[in-house]
Amino acid sequence: MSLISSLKIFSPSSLNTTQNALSVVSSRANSWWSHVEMGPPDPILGVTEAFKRDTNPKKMNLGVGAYRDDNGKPFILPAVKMAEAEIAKKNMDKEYSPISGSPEFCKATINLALGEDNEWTKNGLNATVQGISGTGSLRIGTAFLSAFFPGGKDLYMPTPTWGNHVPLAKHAGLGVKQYRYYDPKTCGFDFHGALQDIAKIPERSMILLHACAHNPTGVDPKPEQWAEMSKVIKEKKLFPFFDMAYQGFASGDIDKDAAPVRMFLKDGHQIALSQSYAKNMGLYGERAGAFSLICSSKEEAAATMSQLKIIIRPMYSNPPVTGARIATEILTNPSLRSQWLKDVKGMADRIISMRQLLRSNLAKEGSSRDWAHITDQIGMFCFTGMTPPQVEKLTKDFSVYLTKDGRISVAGITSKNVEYLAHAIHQVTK
Amino acid sequence: SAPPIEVFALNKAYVEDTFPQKVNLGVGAYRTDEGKPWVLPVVRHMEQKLAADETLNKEYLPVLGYEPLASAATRMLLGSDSASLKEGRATGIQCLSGTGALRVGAEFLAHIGKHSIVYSSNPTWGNHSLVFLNAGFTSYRSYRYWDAAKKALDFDGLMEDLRNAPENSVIILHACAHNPTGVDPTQDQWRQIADLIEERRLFPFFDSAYQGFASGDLDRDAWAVRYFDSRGFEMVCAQSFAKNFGLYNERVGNLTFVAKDRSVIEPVRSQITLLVRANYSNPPNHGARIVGTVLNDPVLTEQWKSHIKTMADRIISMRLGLRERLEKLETPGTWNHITDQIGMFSFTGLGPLAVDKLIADHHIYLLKGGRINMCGLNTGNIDYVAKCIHEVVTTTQEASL
Repeated sequence: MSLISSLKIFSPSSLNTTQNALSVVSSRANSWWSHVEMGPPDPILGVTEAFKRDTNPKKMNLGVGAYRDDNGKPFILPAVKMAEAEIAKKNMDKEYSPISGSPEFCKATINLALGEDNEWTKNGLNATVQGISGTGSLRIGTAFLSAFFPGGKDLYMPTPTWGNHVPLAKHAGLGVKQYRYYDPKTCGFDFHGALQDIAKIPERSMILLHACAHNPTGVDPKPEQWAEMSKVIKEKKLFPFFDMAYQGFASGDIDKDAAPVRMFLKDGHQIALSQSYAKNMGLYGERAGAFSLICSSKEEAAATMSQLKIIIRPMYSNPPVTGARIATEILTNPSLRSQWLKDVKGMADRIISMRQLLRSNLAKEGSSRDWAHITDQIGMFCFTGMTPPQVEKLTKDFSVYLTKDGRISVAGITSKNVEYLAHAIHQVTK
Repeated sequence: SAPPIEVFALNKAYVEDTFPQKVNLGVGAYRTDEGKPWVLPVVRHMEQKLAADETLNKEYLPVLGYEPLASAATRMLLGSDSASLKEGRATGIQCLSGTGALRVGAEFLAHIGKHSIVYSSNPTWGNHSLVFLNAGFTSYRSYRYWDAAKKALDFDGLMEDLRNAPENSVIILHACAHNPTGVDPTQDQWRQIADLIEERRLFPFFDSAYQGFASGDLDRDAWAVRYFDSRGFEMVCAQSFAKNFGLYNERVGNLTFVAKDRSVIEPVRSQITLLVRANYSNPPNHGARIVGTVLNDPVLTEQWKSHIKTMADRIISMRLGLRERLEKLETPGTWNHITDQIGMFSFTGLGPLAVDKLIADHHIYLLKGGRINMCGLNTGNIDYVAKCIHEVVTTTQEASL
């Protein structure tokens, strides 16, 4: 801290005028943090801020990664409202949760992923802990792998991947490497590129897989492609870490969306799994999620659980209860559960229909481009294939806000603005 | 497999015990005189209000949290007269209760501030070392604190250890109601500690988990932090609303940051934003709305203050009651430390053999180090507990006090 030692030259006997100037300088120089630089601005936040400042009544925010209803408003699921009413009746206390979250929540969550009667939970092979939504669950998982994974400490991620995967994994102490995933020529899955790259990954490495509704591209492998990947991953003795943030939200069918995870388990992989209730239950700000390891024995699962708790306690001791209670209530109450399945299908259907409308309106506009990827892709996001200059024009001329990579949040499209959007996209891409 | 964490293992053993007169003096949560958890009436009221408010939704909070909570929490800590607050040199960041605030603060100090050595008191809360070491500190050390012979603060030992701490070391200071001893420095001792920290260029990190809960008075419990603030220290303070709001499982906390110059506040906030993003993206909404709303509403705040006073007063009366009974029983040793100490915990001075006996023979659960949670005492069990302490002290060699 040489800055501080150099301050010894500023003595109380300095002249008044210079002292005022010096004291401003010295208070900054005397600070522990005068060397702290501004971090890079958040690109998505930047999009939203610019959107807010725009006075064009036709403006559209396609940056936001949260579901919106057909009026462009946040949506509180009916099942959630009902669950909250049930919970209120119970007058529950505010006592600390167990470090790993409530056992009921954890069981309901892993069973959602693997199926209600799955053999892994039945045999006690899972170590499941509540996490701070998807991010927190990934963070627990990467911390565990960093400390205990017996193979290479690089986590292989698809190109591209969710922006936060990289800093999060690095923060946990893992290295980050890539495998090919998105093909910009087709706006689809680069299946052969992915297989080639996966085959080259050193044995006993970790590979991150988006279970469904890949973020940011919306491009998912087909079932037969997943089967191939499972085979190669098994041959190469790689460890699969699934990030499932959109179960139910992608296709509207919770089993279909979880199929890759279940397939891998059936194929004999031991996996890590991160789950989030942010989107599929609309519980964004309540931070409900879970991290699981599927182990080879009950003893292993117990040992793993104890280590996971040791990771969690110095992070935040124990998890927040409200979101988890809502999720538990929904999943374990039959009438709420069936309401929820309707709600999540409703959200998925609206998104799918917006995709269809956008594509058909582009055709109506006379666009000669192939926009099949808009309906081939799935989930909240769509990689439109627009270039940065086109994106800039879209924003400048039409007040449509999206990220530079051409990604749009389909949730931001409504039946009222889809024609305007199609028109705008056609204008900048024709 | 890892060894079980003591506090949770103790609680498990208590829960599984079928003895009708069992007493849980382990886990640190408030209990009513009926031995029950207490959801504060103002909290219940707020939850009903929030449930009925159609304008609310479940959208993500900003990365640094719910601003009404963060600013009110910082103001509650520093006081509205605080110069640093008035000059824009203090800022608040919502965190996952006290632990989360400690962790975020520690990560910032390690990764950005490049601090590597941290000191906490001996003894201290069991999780301090783990938080800081996992946050990136490379050396965790202790400064003397508890004088077992005198059952008081080892002030000379504390000062000597801080004097020998290397420059730039981070010093964890319990703002009030020291956990686990219940022993706090006097105001004069705080002044001397501040002098030393300034002289030795150490960095003060306050852990404030009991503001209001200790004495019943928010301002009184913040004296030490405010004193350091008035001295112009740069410092950090982790605040918890688990105890004083009874919101244990909602994980509501705040990290207060005080700088010498307001120009560092934005860069610091932007760096903390990156740390939070990489850890959990943004904090939970529900508890934040409860606390944030109450703290910004004068009427609700007064209601809340009366709840805090209720809790603090009950604890103080249990302290008085236990001391009275032990002195009446003429239990060997001195017992004034029970009422000298403050807050939820008391370091009884009971040794490991006495503790084992209390658990095994009398079904009274407390931590190995002799820490008891005063909230576990009530008018229904205080006679039994006093009697059993008397019994183990008189029959156990090592428990001579």
